[in-house]
Amino acid sequence: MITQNAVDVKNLTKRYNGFCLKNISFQIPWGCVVGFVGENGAGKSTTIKAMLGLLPVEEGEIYVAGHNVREEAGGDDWREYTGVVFDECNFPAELRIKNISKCMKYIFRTWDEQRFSGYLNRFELPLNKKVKELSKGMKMKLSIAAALSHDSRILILDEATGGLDPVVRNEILDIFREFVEDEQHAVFISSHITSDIEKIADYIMLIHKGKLLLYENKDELIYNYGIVRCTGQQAARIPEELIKGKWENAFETSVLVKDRALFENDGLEALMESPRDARPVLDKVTIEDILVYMVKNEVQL
Amino acid sequence: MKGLLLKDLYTMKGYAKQYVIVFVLMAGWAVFMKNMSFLVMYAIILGGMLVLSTLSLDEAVHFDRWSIATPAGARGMVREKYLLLLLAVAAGTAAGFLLNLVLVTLFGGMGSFEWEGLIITAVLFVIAYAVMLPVNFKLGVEKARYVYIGTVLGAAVILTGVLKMFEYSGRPLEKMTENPPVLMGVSACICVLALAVSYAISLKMVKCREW
Repeated sequence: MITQNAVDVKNLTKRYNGFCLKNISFQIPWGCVVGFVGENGAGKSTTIKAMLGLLPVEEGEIYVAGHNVREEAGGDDWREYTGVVFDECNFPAELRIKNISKCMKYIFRTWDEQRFSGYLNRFELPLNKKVKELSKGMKMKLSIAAALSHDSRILILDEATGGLDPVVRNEILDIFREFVEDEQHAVFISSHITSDIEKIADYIMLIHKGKLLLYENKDELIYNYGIVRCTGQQAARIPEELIKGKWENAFETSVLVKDRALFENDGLEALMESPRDARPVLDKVTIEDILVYMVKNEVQL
Repeated sequence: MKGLLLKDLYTMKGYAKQYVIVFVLMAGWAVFMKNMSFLVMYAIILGGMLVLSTLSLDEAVHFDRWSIATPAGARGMVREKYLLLLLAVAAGTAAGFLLNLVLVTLFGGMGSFEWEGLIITAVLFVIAYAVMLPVNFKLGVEKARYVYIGTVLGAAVILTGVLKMFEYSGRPLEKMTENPPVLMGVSACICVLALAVSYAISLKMVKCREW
């Protein structure tokens, strides 16, 4: 299973009435965490379902761990290497935790009972409890424990941290970090909680109305982008090619700009027509800022 | 597939007490009515109902979607439900016969035991499940439940019509039941054919559906 990328998606297209996932292409390199952000209905879950072969698609190629997901040849063995966690715990409510491992060892050829019980201990999940007796956080931990207890090399997480408190979320993010320390592992995580993505992701992928707006290295993104807070007149002096999003109200204009270095030091003064003008301010950006500004302006890099 | 089957068996174990209580109540009713074939018929129906319950529980937490994303895949998920149906109906039939034997031993002669009726009931319910399962995989368990009820009622009406036709044509059903192996063979063929066609359709439905 030596492939250049953990996941390779080429020209993925899926059409619905009133929505279309348009020609999506991206790669998930090994040893990386890719954060997938976008507003509700942007196409995140559709993309993930397509990657997992959970919906028929019209066009495109999807390779997960080198396997062409759209081809039946080769069977379902590639799923052995794919750990999946959705936005809810998928184990039936009546099932006891102690029985989950007994079932999983017949579902996954590579199921590791010891690793699973290690995670149960770490997460303090009581063996005798039924799934329905667990809190939401515990249920998600159980799902993650199951996803990590076979030979999963690619973790695909669809809103897996949604609805959890910050303490549990941090604990779970730590586990994903540990997982990806192995260079033969990769994580693809979609979430509305952009602060989580910011903490863990190496790359950020932004989708809006079925179109991929951005796929960039997170550090470069945060380093290169900035928000200039200024007046409308000052904003008009910013070169168009640097503007990636704009937000105006009666008091202030905020402009998401690329190449923030250009605005540092004297760059901001160049926006001022006279020394009496209020001095513009250059702020750092967060992933949430980039999401909000770009989605609002539908700018494509 | 074995793992999925185990999961269903563990899940059903959680409801075992309720099913046993219902079964015992029905056994009491059968003794009261002096109709032991009713008990076996009920056991067959109950076996089928267990499958419906597991489908419902799977859907509630989207276990079906998750299981397709595992090495079990779509094929394993569909196969398991058909196997579970066969096992549940077989177990229900066995339990019914066993309890019938116990009750007859305890209380003596309990009236007639219509094995022909039992076979027809079993065929009817297998057909109803054969229709219901693809609908479940396409539209979900709630709609499938209505289809199931509709199929049972529809099949019962058709069956009554066929029996009446036999009567009017001067070839009553007894003629058919004079030869048990033929009736059993025909019934088995109908069940196998219905389940095979149903399985193929279910698999297609699962592969075409968005999970």
